[in-house]
Amino acid sequence: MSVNDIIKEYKTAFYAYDDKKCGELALQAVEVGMDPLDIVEKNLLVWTRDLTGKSFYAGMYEEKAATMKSEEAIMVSDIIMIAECLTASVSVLRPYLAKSARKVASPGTIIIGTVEGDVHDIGKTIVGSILGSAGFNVTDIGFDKSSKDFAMAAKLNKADILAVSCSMALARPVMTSILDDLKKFGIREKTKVIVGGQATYVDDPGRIGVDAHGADVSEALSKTEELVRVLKEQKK
Amino acid sequence: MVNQFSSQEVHGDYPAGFNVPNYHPVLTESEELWIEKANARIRERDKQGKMSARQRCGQSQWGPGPVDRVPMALPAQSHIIPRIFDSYLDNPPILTNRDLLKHPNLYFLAETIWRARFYCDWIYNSPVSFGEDILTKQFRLIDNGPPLAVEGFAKTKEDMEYFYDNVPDPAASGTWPIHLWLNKMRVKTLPELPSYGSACAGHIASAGFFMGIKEFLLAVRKNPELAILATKCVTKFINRKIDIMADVIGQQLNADGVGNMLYWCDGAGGFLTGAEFKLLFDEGYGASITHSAKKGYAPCIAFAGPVPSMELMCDHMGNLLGGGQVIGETPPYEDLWPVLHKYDNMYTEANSQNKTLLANDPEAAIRKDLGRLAALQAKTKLPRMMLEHAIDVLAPLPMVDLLIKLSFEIFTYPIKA
Repeated sequence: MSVNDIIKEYKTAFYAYDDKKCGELALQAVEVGMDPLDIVEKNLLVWTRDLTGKSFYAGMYEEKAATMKSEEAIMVSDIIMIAECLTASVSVLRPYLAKSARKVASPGTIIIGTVEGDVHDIGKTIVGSILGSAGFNVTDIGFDKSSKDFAMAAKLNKADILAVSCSMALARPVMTSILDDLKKFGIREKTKVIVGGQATYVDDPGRIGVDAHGADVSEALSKTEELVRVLKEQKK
Repeated sequence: MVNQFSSQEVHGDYPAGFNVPNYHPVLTESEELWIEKANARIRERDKQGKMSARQRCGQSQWGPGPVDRVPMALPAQSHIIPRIFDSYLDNPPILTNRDLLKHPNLYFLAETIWRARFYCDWIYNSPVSFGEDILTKQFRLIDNGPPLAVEGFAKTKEDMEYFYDNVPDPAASGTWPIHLWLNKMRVKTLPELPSYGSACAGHIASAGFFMGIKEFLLAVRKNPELAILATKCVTKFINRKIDIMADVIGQQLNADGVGNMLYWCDGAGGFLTGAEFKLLFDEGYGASITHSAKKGYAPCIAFAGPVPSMELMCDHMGNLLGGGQVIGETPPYEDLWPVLHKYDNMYTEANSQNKTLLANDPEAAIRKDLGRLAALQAKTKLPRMMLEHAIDVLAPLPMVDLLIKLSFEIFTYPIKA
């Protein structure tokens, strides 16, 4: 098969959420000489953005999504399937990426986790894997993590971004504690904080002082990229 | 904690001897005094209205009939009621849901005082347990809600078949006996108010606990037969809960023809597309609707779903339902209203959004939100709405009081049948 044919079939498999086939086609693509980084940047991420750019609903709904037919919008299951396809692809491509002539310059280092008192894991893990596929150096510290766990992980890993998941209303104060602990550790100005999850709101930056709110996977990705850009501007 | 079917082995944060049939902790003399006096206040207030709470709720749910005002309750949700003991002191609360789970007497006391304090028209049944600790392999006790399912029990077809053949008794397993005791006490100590028994969680959420949410949602897409089998398993378990709960709360049809209600909350219903909901319907909701009908109950199924899914659910279940309820942050009511009012036997529970309580100008935000609901209600042929406000745990007490005050102000008007 030609490169074009492989990519065409790969795209079809990706959009059909066929993770097994995605892994196979990722291998075929590098074997015919495609740059593994191009596969990620020019294909996988473009397809992911295209798919996750649809309105998202999952129990808590954006108003614009509410009037769509359910088949027209992206559901939690879709996001899980996209993450499965990305994982299958990237796990095949990883050794080739390591050997690639064109080295990947990671856009930034991210610590992601779910706050103490909350064991919601799915959304956080999916966002983490998609950020990882976008080239970020991601460390997932898991769920039920204290503000000190977040701050310590940020300091040890020299993180650019803390991505904080919170889906339990009573756990919201932990987000404020994270900001306090980042200050205590002297790294608040070096670390941007983005929050997401059912117990976070679009106006949380104004309300509790975080740097951004990601309503869904697509926003988490685009706003993280924006935060990194701002951080680099500030460092100049 | 690792668990399989029943949590006979778990200790620590639970009260002693909780997972036995007929679990019945004894109230102290001072606790009984609190309960008696709080309920006396509720009864006294109930007599002051033009209609009793039971009549008002009954006409709204089972009517249609005229009501003096829209019924209202501020749900005594398990993660919020500990606040009643610390008068909304700054965070974190002095007592948490975990403390109340360990001391069910306190839980009962807290919700009774809450009901008196916040002018509730019905006994909201906040599940102290969904039975998720019975369905899951690993769960964790948390401060702010019922036990949390960490890892599903059923990974294979064999696991499911074993469960199906050995469905545990919810009355003697996990934390459900505590939940059952609370229901008994609610009905026993305040029979005047309509009671809502909870056979929660619904079929989608339960199947999610059972397999793991991610695994279940993947199975719906990739291995529908397995997802259907999981649904069939949890339905058998849910139907057992329905039988037990129906006996506990009793139908209690009174002279007004008003009965109690049975809840199956299922926020996770919104995770499925319409086609996926249909796929699981016969082994899930469909089977339980038929089952509960034998007990004389029309279920109140609480699902927070997007409009298209809600429409499909309503169309699919049609006149079988006794109630269609919407809680939490929902799609715009303007879109939802026509869907929920297509069927004469449905009613809607609507609420003011959490965000209004946390807004910069809460009074304006609450007025706007409640005004929208009132305008919709005015257009509806049937008086089938009840206000069930979901409040954010961080909402300050004055904001909560403001919500109650404005609700009475805006929704006190005679509604004709």
